[in-house]
Amino acid sequence: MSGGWTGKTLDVDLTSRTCRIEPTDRAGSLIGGRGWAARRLFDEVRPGADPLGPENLLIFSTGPLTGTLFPAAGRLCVTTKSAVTGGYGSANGGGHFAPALKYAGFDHVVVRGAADRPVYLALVGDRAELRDARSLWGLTTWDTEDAIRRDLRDPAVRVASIGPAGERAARLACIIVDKGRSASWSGCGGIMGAKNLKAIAVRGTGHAAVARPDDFMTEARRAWQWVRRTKAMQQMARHGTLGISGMDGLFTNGPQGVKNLSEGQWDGFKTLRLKQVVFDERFGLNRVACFGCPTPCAQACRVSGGPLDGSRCIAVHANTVRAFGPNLDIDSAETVVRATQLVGELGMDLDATTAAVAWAYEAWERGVLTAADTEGLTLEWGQAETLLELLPQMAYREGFGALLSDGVDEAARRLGRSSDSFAMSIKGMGVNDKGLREYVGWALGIAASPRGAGHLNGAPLCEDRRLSRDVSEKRYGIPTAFEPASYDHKEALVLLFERLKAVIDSLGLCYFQSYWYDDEIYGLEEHARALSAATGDDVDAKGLERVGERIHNIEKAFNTLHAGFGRSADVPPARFFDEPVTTGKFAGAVLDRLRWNDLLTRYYGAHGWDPASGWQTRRGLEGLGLGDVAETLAAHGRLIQD
Amino acid sequence: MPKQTILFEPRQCTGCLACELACTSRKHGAFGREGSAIRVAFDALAGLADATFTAACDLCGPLVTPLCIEFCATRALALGRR
Repeated sequence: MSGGWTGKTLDVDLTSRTCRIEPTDRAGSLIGGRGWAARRLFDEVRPGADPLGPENLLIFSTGPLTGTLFPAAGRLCVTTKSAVTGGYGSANGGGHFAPALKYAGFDHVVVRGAADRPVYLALVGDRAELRDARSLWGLTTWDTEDAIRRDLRDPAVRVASIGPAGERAARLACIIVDKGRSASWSGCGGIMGAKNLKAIAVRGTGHAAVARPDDFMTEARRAWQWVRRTKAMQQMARHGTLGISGMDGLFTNGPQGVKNLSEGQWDGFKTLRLKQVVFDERFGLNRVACFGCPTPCAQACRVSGGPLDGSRCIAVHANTVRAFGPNLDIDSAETVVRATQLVGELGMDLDATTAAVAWAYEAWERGVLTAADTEGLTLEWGQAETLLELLPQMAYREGFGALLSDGVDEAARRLGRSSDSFAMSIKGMGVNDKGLREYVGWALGIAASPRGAGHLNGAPLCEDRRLSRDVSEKRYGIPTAFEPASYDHKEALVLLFERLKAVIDSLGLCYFQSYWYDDEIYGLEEHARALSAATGDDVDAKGLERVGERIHNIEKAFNTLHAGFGRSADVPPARFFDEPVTTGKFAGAVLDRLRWNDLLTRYYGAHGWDPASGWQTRRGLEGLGLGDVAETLAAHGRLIQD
Repeated sequence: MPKQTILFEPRQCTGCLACELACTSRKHGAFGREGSAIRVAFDALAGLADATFTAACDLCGPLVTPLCIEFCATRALALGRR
């Protein structure tokens, strides 16, 4: 392979402690990254496999643009059978790890089996080595990174590691890169811990080559300039995700997620205390970008003075602030910085963690949990001290926090007392998203996401833009893209972004630098040209769109095969249908069950799936060239023979 | 007369390393950190950034703007005289 791929995949069997280099197969032309890994997962992990058992795979992937100068080509994709949902699992993180993997000469690292004692994988030069990690076990992710750099005597090594939460196979555990960038979701940190794999350390000394360097530089330069002249990107670079979309933002006055998502608008004075400007002016260090990114969306923070003196983190984001702020009714910016540091050091998935904490706070309010259950902790809304005590308990499976270590659904199941009625989860994964009542397409994208919840799949960001139907038609081919409450045509909008995101994750890029974030930014046309120049094989936007649909279908099939998910798995929690927002400009907003069901039916139809069951059809899969996937589903009685 | 050089403003640096990629694209025809004439050290938690240049930096020879400067999105790099 001349460009785009290194052509090498590392297969690591932890049980036999062997590392084998194999040629990267083209996996049915699914680009790379997420698409390649989804196919490998579908082919190799059998139904019934325990996600935390040695039979599960943990795949670290780069894409063909990873490590190049195309904007933001640094994303790491981790693919596995989800320990949270039992279905398809995927985690995507930023930082600098994935390019280092590419420079070390690998497209993917496929980890299988389980080690009998803690190890870490070191990829230095051309060598892959499993090293003793017993002295690292128990360390936080930050300390692990430092210790490995000392062990390898190389300060430039990049490290992806787990913390105490992952070591305890907690289903809310994630993988941390660069002391703060996380590959969260799917319990991938717990899966890594169950394999006794503490970390992967990479020192890449090679280069990412492309097939047509001049053409590629033309595309990279064009995209780079495009991002820099786009107003929305300039605002993001200046104010971060927090300034743009968090805490009713500078510009949006949009919905928030308050008190376990029971409300949509927070108290104005509390909101004021968590504005971006507070973090910037009181704690701000440099703005921080991921690898090769023109849009530094993060603000490094350090608290000076007060009881939380010295707390620090590399990124406070809109999602972080919502999760620790309004969703727990906590209005202390210092606490947000400290809590962000804790989940990073301990290796905890922000969404899974805070959905469980918010559930516990609500259980306390309802009297479902009392001091007798919590070993003396009081879980009043707004109590910051409790949060900071609870997070380590959850990571270490100690005290009351141990109830929450495997996420909100498992906690509600173990507690009983009808507490599942206010567990905010979809497919078992905790929800930490605003706007599910207010933005219908957004809600559908979150509810239908194969890995369970989260807005980083098919959920469109465009619904809050104040543009005309004409512009909507022109840009999206439907009239309602800018009408948040409309159910009309939202299935088409979600499909479009599902495909775009599948392609972006497979190329190795970030979602932000695309028309998902702002209509003005480039998309599949430009991705196709860059990919063509990188690999030397010409593709076009239509071709990429089809690949995106194929990837989404493989993930869907994995879910059907392993978890049996049907229609009921693609529905938001009852709260969003039964409890309207009562405050703010969206007062009265609530989802409607009948209209949701109609929308879901149209969504399945648009994908070529069976509307009654939500499962895939033979005709649909064969039309995508996935006849073998259809055969596998049919062999397990999980295909609609249409 | 002061020599033309590349100036670095540490507070503006975001640690993205695009400068190094731009440099290696010109010098090696491929993207990476190894062999870059500009080396950036960035520690976000400490709020520290530094850039050093090797003897291989020729300000991109005949080009008007050195590539590292062209691809620095936050203008941490600039051409100046010292």
